[in-house]
Amino acid sequence: MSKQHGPTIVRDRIHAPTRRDVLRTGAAAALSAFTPRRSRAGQPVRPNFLFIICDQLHFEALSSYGNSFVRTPNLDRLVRRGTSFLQSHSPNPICCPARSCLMTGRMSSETSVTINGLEQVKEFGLPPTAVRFNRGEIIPSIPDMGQWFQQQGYETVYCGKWHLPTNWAPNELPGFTVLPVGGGEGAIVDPTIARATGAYLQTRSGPDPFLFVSSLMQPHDICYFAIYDEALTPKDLPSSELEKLLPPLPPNHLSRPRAPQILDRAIYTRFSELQWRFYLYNYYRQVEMLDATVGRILDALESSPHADNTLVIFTSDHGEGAARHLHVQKWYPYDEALKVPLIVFCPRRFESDYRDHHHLVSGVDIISTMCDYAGVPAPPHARGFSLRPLLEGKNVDWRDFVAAEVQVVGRVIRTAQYKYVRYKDDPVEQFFDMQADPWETQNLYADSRFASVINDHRKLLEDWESRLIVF
Amino acid sequence: MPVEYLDLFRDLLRDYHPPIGAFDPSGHWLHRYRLYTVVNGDIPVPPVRGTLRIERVPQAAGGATLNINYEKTSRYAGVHTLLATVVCAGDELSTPVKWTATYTAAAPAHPLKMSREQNESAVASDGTLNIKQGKVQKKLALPSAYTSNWALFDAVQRLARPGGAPIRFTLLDDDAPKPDQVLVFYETVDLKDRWPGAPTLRVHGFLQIGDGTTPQVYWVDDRGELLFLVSGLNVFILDAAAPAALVSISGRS
Repeated sequence: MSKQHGPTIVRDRIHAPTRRDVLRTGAAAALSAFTPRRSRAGQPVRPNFLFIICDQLHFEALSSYGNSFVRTPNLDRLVRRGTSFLQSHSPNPICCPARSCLMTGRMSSETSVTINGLEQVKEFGLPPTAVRFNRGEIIPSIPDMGQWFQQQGYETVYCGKWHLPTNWAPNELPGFTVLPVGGGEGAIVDPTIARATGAYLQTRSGPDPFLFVSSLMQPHDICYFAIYDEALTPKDLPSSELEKLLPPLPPNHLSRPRAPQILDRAIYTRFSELQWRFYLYNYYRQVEMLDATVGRILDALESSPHADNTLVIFTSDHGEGAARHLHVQKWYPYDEALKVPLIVFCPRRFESDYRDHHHLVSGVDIISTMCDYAGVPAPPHARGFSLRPLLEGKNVDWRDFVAAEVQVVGRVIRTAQYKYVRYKDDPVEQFFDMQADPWETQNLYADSRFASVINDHRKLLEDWESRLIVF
Repeated sequence: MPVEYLDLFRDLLRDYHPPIGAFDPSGHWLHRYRLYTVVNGDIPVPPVRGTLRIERVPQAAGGATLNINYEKTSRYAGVHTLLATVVCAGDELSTPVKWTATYTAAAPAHPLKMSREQNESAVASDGTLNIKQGKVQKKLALPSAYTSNWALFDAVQRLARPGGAPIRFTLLDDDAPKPDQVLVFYETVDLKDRWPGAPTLRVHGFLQIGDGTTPQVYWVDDRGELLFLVSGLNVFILDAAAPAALVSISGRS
């Protein structure tokens, strides 16, 4: 392998600059480490958790991340006050499986939630055996976040989208008290979720710490702009006023690197260039709706008695195609669907404006992080790492790679430089140099110069898979 | 947003009887709308997802009071409500200058000690909007031109038809300011021949675009009465059975 194609070894620990390094150079805002408050008896007061999950938020759809086609003052407020993990990955870029991972810290093949529904088998041409691996709800032997924290003495409350498998949290969930706000589209239901969340934060009382999951729907409404394209994304713009406001298409819009069959079929071809741009325009407006909702929740938290002892975690179940690789929605191992925003902060106690560009993190890390701060063990076989050392600027060895699953038979290994994708029984693999080709346009799997490093990634995958407990 | 959007609701609109009689957009009126959506399973015969009752009461000093009763019928958890009274200026945008609102979440009995209800009040004064939501107090600097979602139900009925200049403003989506809004005449459409059984009806569309809101079209009839609001996935349809203009209204239902 020639030197210009980077290292041949992928097993090295990542020695990315830590936040401490950055602070030393004065490049980051002030940071105070999380010091638990103490009760009158001298015991540390366990923090509350406000876990805000949104649906289908693209990892670059925040104005503070440099996107000038969307205005997100409230998400930017989160960014300014917290730590953004810019290499954060969905464990499975599909709603139900991703949520099962967020809720348990386990991979979707372990939770047995691998697809959104059986219609997906036909829609995407999944092998019929795929059905066997999808129970549709988390298998009972794996505790979800609510059950786990309830056992640890937390008041655990859920509000909003559930999708395991029912779309909206039923009135009763194991491990959670549900604030039933019902269901519907994000534009309608998110403000209600925000108000219910705010009412809880403002008026709840009780001695126990709480875990509140506020699960928002937006910007998922964009899905319907592809489904009902003639009505919602018409061929002609409704106003010339709009034309100057439309975002440009991404540079990999038409890129179609060689791909496994399931992936190759999953492109969207009904839009003209103008419609694609109008689709993006509408997507960003829905991100702004999400932003307003998040602002209401933050306002309620920050004026509540819990403001200085609540760890806020914000993420999305998966990303959005956003016109990259001719994609709408999710379902793909490409970054547009796989990467998600992840921001963590604690008002007035644990604040910074730090962007971690280096550490590979995953949605399965969230429950481990919460457990670490709560001072309780992570659930058995949890696959994630606690983000606490990274949040507190400690210099730790971090994972070499992050893994994801997709469409039942798809697997992804992402290392610092490369991304490896394999769909079971499909001879076409994918291999991208994410540093040289961040838009994922050149599939290098057949390039003999990468044979060795690709093989290393295959072994990483095989080793990782062999450690999963799949029922 | 284009009129093709309304085609999705052709089954609902087949028997639609447009309101008749005189209508004064600046007078005293009461409208009832049904809310539908275009999501999976709701088309072609969508169930009602909510209702809006909005009453305009002109004030002697100019402007009007809007009494709003919005109920969102949740799929799984009862009804969420908004009861609001909005005092609007007598200007082009029906600029809201003061309001009170109560939101309720339809949370059945549960063991949590928390409130199901949120009260909000707001007053605009000297370029600042002072909002109180429960214990939360906010101050928003007001732009020179602003209005709210609910006030637009009133304002669009008095807009000029083709040739009118675009109106630019900030939208208050409840308490969230959404700048760079434009409201502009869109098109006039005869629905009659669009599908079998379509109502004999000519409607005029006004398009709204801007931050934090997907393009939406307000469709008014020849008299200016707002019949349909198409907003992203949501469609408000005026209940033609409701009286268009009232001499007096006692109480709010």
